[in-house]
Amino acid sequence: MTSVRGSRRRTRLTLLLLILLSITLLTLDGRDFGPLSAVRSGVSAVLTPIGGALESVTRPVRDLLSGFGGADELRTENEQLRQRVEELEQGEADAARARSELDQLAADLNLDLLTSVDSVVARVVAGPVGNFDDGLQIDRGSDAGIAVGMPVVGGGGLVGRVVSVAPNRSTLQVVTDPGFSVGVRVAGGTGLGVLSGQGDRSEAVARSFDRSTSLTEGDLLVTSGAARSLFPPDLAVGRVVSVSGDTVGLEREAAVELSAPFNDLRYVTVLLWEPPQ
Amino acid sequence: MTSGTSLYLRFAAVLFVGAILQLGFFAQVRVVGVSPDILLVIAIAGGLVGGEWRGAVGGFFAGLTLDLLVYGRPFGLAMLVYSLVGLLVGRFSASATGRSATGEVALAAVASALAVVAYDLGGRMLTGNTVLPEPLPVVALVVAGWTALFIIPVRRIMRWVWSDPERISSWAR
Repeated sequence: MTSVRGSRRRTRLTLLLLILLSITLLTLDGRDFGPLSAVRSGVSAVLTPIGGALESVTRPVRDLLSGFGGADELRTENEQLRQRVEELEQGEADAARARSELDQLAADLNLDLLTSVDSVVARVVAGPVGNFDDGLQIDRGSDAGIAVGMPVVGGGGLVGRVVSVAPNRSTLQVVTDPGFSVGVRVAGGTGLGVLSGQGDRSEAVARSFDRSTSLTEGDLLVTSGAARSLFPPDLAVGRVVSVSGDTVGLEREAAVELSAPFNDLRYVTVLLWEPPQ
Repeated sequence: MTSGTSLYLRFAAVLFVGAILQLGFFAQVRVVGVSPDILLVIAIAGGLVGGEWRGAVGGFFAGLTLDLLVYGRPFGLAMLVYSLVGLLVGRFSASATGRSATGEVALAAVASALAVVAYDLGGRMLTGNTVLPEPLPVVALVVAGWTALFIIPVRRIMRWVWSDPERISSWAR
C-alpha cells in the first residue's frame, strides 16, 4: 500500500518536474535563447549526414511504400503530366515569345544581381523531419561561406533563407513556413506588399498592397529589396493567381503560386549576400 | 558499468536509431502527405511496456529528440506533449485494455491521434500558426494508422530496453 502510494507520489513529482522543464525550455525558446540554437545545430550536424546516407540507400523502398499509399495521387499526377506534355508540344511558339519577354523583363529588373553576387550551389539533403515542420537542410555550411540570414533561391524562385549553420550543413526556413514573410512588389510595378507562407507547398498569400496598386492575375511578384529588407531586390517569388480586397477595402491581397518547386527541390543556390546593416 | 548506466545507454541508443530512421526514412514515407512519427511511437511503446512513470520520462526524452530535430516549432512542445502521452498510455495500458494486443494497438492509435491534436493546438497557441501538410483530422487519423502499424515491433524493442527488472528498478528509483 505504502509502496503504491510512494510510486504515485514519485510519478506526480516526476511529471511536475518534466512539465516545469518543458515550460522553461518553451519560454527560453520564445526569447531566442542562443545556446538552444547552438545545440540544435550541433545535433543536426551529427545526425543529418547519417540520415542523408540512409535516405539515399532506402529511396527505392520508400518510393514503393509511398506508391502503395498514393496510387490515386500518382494516377492524377500522371494525367496532369500528360496534359502538360501536350501543352508543351503545342507551345513552341509561345516559348519563343516568352523567351523574348523574359529577356525584356530581366533587363527591366536588373537581374544581373544574381550574377554579380557570389553564390554557393548546395544539395537538399533532408526535408521536413515530420508532419509539423517545413524546414530544409542543405549539404553546405559555414565552410563554404554561408552565414545565417543569407537568401536561398532555386528552381526559378525564392526558396527561403538560412536560419542555422554548421560547418557542412545549413538549415533553411522556406517561403512556405507560416512564420516566413518577405516584402514583395509586382515586377516592373511600384506597389509594395508582404508575402507570408501558409504551410502550403505551392501557394502563399501576399497582403498589404495599397488599394491603388495594379495587381492582376498572372503578375510576377519579386522581392522588393526595400530599406532594411532581409532579401536583395528582384528575386522572383511567385505569380498572382487571384486578387481580393481585405475586409475593410483599404488594402488588396493576392493568392500567389510560388515559383520554387517545393515538392521537388533537389538543388538550391545560396546567395552570399547579407542585408545592409 | 552499472546496470542503471546500461539502461540509459540502451534507451539512448533506441532514440538515436529512431532519430536517424525518422530523418533518413520515415520523414519521406508519406501517405496522403502524412509521415509516421517513430519517436512518438517510441514514447507510446515506452508507456505500454513500462507504465506511467517510465512512459512520462521516455516520452520526455523522445520529445526532446524530436524538438532537437525540428526547426521552426516551439522547442519544448514535443517534450511536454510526448511525456503526457507516455504517462497517459502507461496509466491506461495497465487498466483499460486488459493487456490484449488489440487493445494496446487501439490505445496506441488513439494516443498518437491525441498527441497530434495536442501538438498542433499547442503550436497554434504559442506561434499562432501551423504547418500541417493536410487538415488536422486527416493528419491525426493517418498518424494513428502509422502508429498502429509500427507499435508492435517498437513495443518489443522497448521491452528489450527495460527487460531486466533489477535494472528497471535501479533506474526508476
